[in-house]
Amino acid sequence: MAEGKRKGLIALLVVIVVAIVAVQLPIVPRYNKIAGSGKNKSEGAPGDLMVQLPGQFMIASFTGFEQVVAGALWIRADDFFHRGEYQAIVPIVRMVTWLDPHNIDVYITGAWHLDYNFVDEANALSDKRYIPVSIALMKEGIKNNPNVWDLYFELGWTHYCKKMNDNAQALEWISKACEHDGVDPNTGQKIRRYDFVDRMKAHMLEKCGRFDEAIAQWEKARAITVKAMEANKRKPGSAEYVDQGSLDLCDRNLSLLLMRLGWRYGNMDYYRRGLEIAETLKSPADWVAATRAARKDYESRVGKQWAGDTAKPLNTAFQVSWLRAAPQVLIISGKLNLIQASEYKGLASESFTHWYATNEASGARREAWRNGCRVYWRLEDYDYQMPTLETVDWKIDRSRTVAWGDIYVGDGKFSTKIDMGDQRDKEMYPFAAGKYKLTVWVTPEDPGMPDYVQDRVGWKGEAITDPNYLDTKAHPGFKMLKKEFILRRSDII
Amino acid sequence: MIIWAIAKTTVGDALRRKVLQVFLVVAIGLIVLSLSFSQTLSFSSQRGISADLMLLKSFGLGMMALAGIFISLILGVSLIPQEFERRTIYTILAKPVKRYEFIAGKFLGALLTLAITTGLMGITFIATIVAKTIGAHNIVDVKSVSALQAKADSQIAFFDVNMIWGVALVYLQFMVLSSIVLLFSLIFTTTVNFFMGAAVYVVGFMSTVVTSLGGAEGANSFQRAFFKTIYYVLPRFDQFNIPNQLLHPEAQVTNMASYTGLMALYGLLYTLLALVAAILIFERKEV
Repeated sequence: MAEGKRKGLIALLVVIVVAIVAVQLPIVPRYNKIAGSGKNKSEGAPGDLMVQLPGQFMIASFTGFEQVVAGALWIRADDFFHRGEYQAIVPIVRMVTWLDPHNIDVYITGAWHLDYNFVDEANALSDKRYIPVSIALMKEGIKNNPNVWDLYFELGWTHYCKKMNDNAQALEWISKACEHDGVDPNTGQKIRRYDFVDRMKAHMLEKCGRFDEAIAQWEKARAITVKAMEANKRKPGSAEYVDQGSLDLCDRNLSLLLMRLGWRYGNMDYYRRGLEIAETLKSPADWVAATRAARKDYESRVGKQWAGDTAKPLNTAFQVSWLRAAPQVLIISGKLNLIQASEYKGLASESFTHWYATNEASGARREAWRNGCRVYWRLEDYDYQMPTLETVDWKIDRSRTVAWGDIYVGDGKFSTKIDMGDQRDKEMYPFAAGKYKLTVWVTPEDPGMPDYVQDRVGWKGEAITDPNYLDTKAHPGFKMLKKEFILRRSDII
Repeated sequence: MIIWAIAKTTVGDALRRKVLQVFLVVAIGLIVLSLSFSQTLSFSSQRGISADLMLLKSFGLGMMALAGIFISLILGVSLIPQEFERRTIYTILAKPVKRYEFIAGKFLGALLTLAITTGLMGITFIATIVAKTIGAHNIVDVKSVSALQAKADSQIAFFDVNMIWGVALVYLQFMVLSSIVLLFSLIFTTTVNFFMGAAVYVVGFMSTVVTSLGGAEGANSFQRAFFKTIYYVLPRFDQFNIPNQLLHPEAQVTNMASYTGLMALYGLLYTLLALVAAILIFERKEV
C-alpha cells in the first residue's frame, strides 16, 4: 500500500473516532434516561445489590433476560408462599424488583408479605420488626414508579393506616396518590385513578379531625364521579366502575359526616346540610326512614341551646393490670367503661340509628353494653425506636423485641393472654434487653373504632374523662387513655 | 462487483456451517416454545396476559441476543483464518482483487449472514408474539374473566412496534461485534480471538460497572486511567440492550425511532473504524 494511501486511512480513522464521539454525545443523555427508568432507584450502594443477587441471575440479567428471570422468580415466590416458606420469598422480591423495577405488583405483594405474613405460632401476631423494611420497599417502588397512584395508596392504606394506625402518615400518602393517575401496563396509556382513592382521602381527613377539608374532599370526589359518569354517557365504557351507586356512596358518606358533626358537636348548620343531602337519596327504605327520623330530631333541636352528644363527659374508669402467667406468657386485663347501653339514651345520633330504642324493646335479651371498642397494647425493649430505613434491607435486628396487638372490650372488660414462650417463636421474641416498656392505650383515633363509639365520645375523644389515665399530650387536640408499665427482664422470662 | 462476489461466497459458506445452523435452529425452537410460558398461574395475575407477553418478549429478545452473539463470534473468528487454512487466499489475492475489497467482501458476507439469521429469528419472534396476542384475545372472548381484566387484555395491540426496534438493536450489536472479531482475527489466533471477542462484548455490556470501578474510592491513578481507557475505547454494548424500555410501554422515556437511528449511526461508525483498522493491518500482512 502506498504511504500516501496509508496516511489517508489513518487520517480517516481519526475522523471516525471524532465522529463516534460526536454521535455518542447525544446518545448518552437518552440512554441515561432509559437506564434511569429501567434501573431500580434503590439508594443502597450498587455493590449491595450485586452481593444480594446470586451469580446465575446476574448472568441472566447481563444477557438481556431480566423479565424472564423476574417472571420465573415470581412464580417461584408463589410456590414458596403456598408451601408456607415465607422467609424464602423476601430475597426473591428483592431480586424481582431489581430486575424489573416497574412491576408494581411485586412491591405491593412483597411489602404486604413483610408486614402481615411473618406471624408467631401462639398468637398469630405479626413480626413488627419487618414493618420498616416493608415501608422502605414501598418507598423504593414509589421512587421507581412515581407517576402512578397505586403504590402511594398502598403505602398509606395498607401500611400506615392498617398496620401502624398512623392516620396522619396515611393521609399524607393517600393525598399523594390523589395527585396521580394510573397507567395501563398493556398500552402505557394514562388511565383514570379509581374513585375509591379520592374517597379514601376524605375518610382519612375525617379520621384526622380535619372536618372542613374532609367535606371539601367529599365534594371533590363527587365531582370526579359526576365527570366520569358524563364521560361514560358520551362514550360508554370510558370510565370503569362508575355508576349511580358511586354517586350515592359519596352522598351518603358526605351526609353522614355532616350529620355526625351536628350530632356530636351540636353544629346545626352541618346537621341541616347533611339532612338535605340525605333526603335526596331515595333508597334503601331504612335509610329514608332514618333520614325522616333525623329530620324530626333536627326540628326539635334547632334554635335551642345544645352543644352536641359529646359535650356530656363520660368517665371511662379505665383500669389495667398485667401478670406473668408463665415464663414469657403475659396476661393483660382490665376494665373500661366504653360504652354502657344507657349512654345512648337521648343521643341525637339515636334518632338515626335507633339502637337504644331497639335494644330496650328486646326485653330479656337486652344488652347492657354496646361492645366493639378495642384496647391496644405494645411491649418493646425500653429504648426501642422503630428504625427508618433509607434502603431496603431485610436483615432485621433479631436481638430486638417489639410486639403489639389489640384486645376486644366486651361488657366493659378486656383480657388477653400473650404467649411469647413458644419455642418456635424464639427468634421473634428474643428478650435480650434488660428493661421493657408495656404500654396499654385506648384512642378514638383507632382506624377500627366503630362509629357508634365515636358518636358518644367524639372523633377526638372530646367526651372522655378519666381520673387516672387521661392523656392529652401524646396527640395534641385528641384525648386518649394510656398506661405505661416498666418491666424488668426477670418480670417476663 | 468483486466485493459482492466475495460476500455471496461467504454467505454460502457460512450458511452451510453446521454449528451456526444448530444455534439458529435451537434459538428459533426456543422462541417458539416460549409460547407456552405463563405467569398468570402465580399470585401476580393482576396484569393478566400482559405479564405473559412481557415474559415472552423478554425471552425472545434475550434468546436472539444470546444466539446471535455466538453466531457473530463463531462466524467472525473464522472469516479470514479459514481462507489462510484452506490456502484459498493466495488464489484470491493472485487475481485482480485488492486487499480492502477482500476484507470488505468478507465482512459484507458476514453481515448478510447475520441479517438472514437475525431476520429468521426476528420473524419467528414477532410471529410468536402475534400468535400469543391472538390467543389472548380469543381467551378473553370465551372465558369469563373480570370485566376490567377483559378490557385490559382486549386493548393489547396485535403488533408492538417496539419489538422491531428491539430486533434492529440486536442486529446492530452483532454488526459491531463481528467487525471487532474480524479485526482481531488478523492479530490473534482463532481461540484467543473467540475469547477476546467475548470479553469485549461482556466488558462493553458492563460499561457502567467499568465506570464505577474507575471512580471507586480505593482506585489509584493507574487503575482509574485503565478503566477510563476501557470505558472510552470499547463499544457501549449496554446501549443496544434496553429491554425495560422496550417491554414497559408505561415507562417510555424517549423516542425509540430516533434512539435506534442514533445507535445505528454509532454502530456503523464503530464498524467502519474496526474495518479501516483491519484494512490497515491486512495491507501490511505478508500473504
